[in-house]
Amino acid sequence: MKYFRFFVLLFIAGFFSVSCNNTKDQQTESGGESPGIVSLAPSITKQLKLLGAHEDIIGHTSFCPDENLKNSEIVGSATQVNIEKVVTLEPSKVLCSSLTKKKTVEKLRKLDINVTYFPVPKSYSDICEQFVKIGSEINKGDTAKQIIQREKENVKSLRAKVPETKNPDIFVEIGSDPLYAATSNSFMHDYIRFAQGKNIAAGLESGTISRENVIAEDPDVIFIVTMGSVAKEEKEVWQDYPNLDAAEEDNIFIIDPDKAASPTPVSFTTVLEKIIQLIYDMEK
Amino acid sequence: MKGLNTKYVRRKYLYWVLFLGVLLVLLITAVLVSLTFGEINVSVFELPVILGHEGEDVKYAILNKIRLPRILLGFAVGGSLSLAGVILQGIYRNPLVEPYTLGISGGAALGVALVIVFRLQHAFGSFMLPLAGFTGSLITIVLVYSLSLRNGKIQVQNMLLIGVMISFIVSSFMMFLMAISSAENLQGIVFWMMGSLDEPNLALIRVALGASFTGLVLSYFFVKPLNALRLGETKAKHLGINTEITLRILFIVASLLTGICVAVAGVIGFVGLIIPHLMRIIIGSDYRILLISSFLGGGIFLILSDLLARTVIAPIELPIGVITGIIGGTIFVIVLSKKNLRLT
Repeated sequence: MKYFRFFVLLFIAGFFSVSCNNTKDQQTESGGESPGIVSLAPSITKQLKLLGAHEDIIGHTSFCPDENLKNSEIVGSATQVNIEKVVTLEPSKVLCSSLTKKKTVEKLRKLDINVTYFPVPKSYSDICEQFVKIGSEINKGDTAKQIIQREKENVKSLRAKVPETKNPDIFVEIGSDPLYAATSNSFMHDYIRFAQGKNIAAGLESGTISRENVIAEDPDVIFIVTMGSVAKEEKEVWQDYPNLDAAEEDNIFIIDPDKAASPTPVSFTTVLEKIIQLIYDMEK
Repeated sequence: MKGLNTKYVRRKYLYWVLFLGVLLVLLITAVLVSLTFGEINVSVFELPVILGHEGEDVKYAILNKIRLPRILLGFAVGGSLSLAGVILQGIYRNPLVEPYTLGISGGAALGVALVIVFRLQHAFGSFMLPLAGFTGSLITIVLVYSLSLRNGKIQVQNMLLIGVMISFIVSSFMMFLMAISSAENLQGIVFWMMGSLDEPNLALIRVALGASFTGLVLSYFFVKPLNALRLGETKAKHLGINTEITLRILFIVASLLTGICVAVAGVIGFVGLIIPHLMRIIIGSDYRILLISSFLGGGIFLILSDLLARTVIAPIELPIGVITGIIGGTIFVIVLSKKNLRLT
């Protein structure tokens, strides 16, 4: 009898949907084809904003910065995209990164949605190229090129300020458990390279590194690019090794991961400036 | 006395037929609810109109190209995993055995991880991932099976232990691969392991569906041996059952079903453990009804779990394993504690 009641409840739930044609549904029908963009990665959303296209964004993830996104709705998290939601918005373009599952990209393409995929940039030049490509995708190629030109000049002048006499050994920690370093396959390597530093994890194929290894390499500077309290805890962990040059000289710094790990050409310059400033102070 | 017995048997069959009827109605309801609810809600009466008119309509695209394939795959995977679970619990006479206990999912995951690490999917296409998953599970099955043979006979308890050990070994290899992978590859492996019913390839959904029905039909050829095995292997032999062949074929059927599910949908836990036990509690341990009930129950459970996964905190979609674990596990514990039953 209990199971029968359960079944009846479910059946009622099934038919309840008869009266549930919601307003969103009607909007889609009357709205016609939307010229909007759906961004499935925080870094892409930031770049679209930088290009002044924030009003064209009609869908973003819950991880994207949502200031100024008045016309946009959340279409899922960075890793789990609600395909139905994307289809409902009828976007002219979906821009995604490697945060999006391959299956989701394939499914969207099978639904005749124009999807452009941007892999994780491996260098500063990749960041610039991707920015121009995003610009071209939304007919703002010239604006993108102008921004890139300006930022390249800024980077060039920052690099000119760096003394070439010393090349400090630098460790950039991007994960703590397990310990994960920025290798030469990452755009973060360019922060170090442009600051005339030597990345102690440059030769690693994967970013996994042991604490012992870091201590043996004895970096002069440690940059921690992880979220919240973990970063502070990590700083304390490194400070517990008094023989470590970085700890001895108090050269362990926390960098905002939002800017450093998910860069635009502009935020790259900002972070580079900060890094050079921190290393410079050390040199003084 | 004979009359009483006949009356009892008749009542039992009637109860089974009624129960199957309820399951079928539940299945239809689950399909309808799943089709109607989501980002766009449609009425049940609209369904034939929307699905009958192929075109560029958003509703048609959502129903026909997103929800329907998910429902079909959910039914196939849920049914297959549950069927595999009930078969394996039957042949091992162990309530804790489930399709993933024997390392089949680990083998599949290792296959996929190898493809991702060596970037073979870029060279040969994304079809490589399910293919590698299936190959990985197949190799694990062959390993477990061949290592469990002693003088040409299967040692059931050894088989279970070997399966568990191979599962641990495979997991360690997985961790090794993940440790040496680049961040991008690592992401690919984790995504695959999260499990999903969002399969873009319709051919794979057809394969999963076909395999699930074939598995169900094949398992029914072994209903009598499975019922006899409830008494133990020795007693089953005394009843004239060829336990060797039964164990071999049923092990292969259950493993292949699991392998196909893992290859297509990734690792979706708990279905193969919870549903067979729930069905046992409700309908009893007779395999004549238990096989089909578990199959249908698994299908219904996964369809509804997927519905919850995509609607409960919409537009954010949850990995389906989160729902099967939390909801399924909780319902199972509640039912078990209320009934105070033993699962053997």
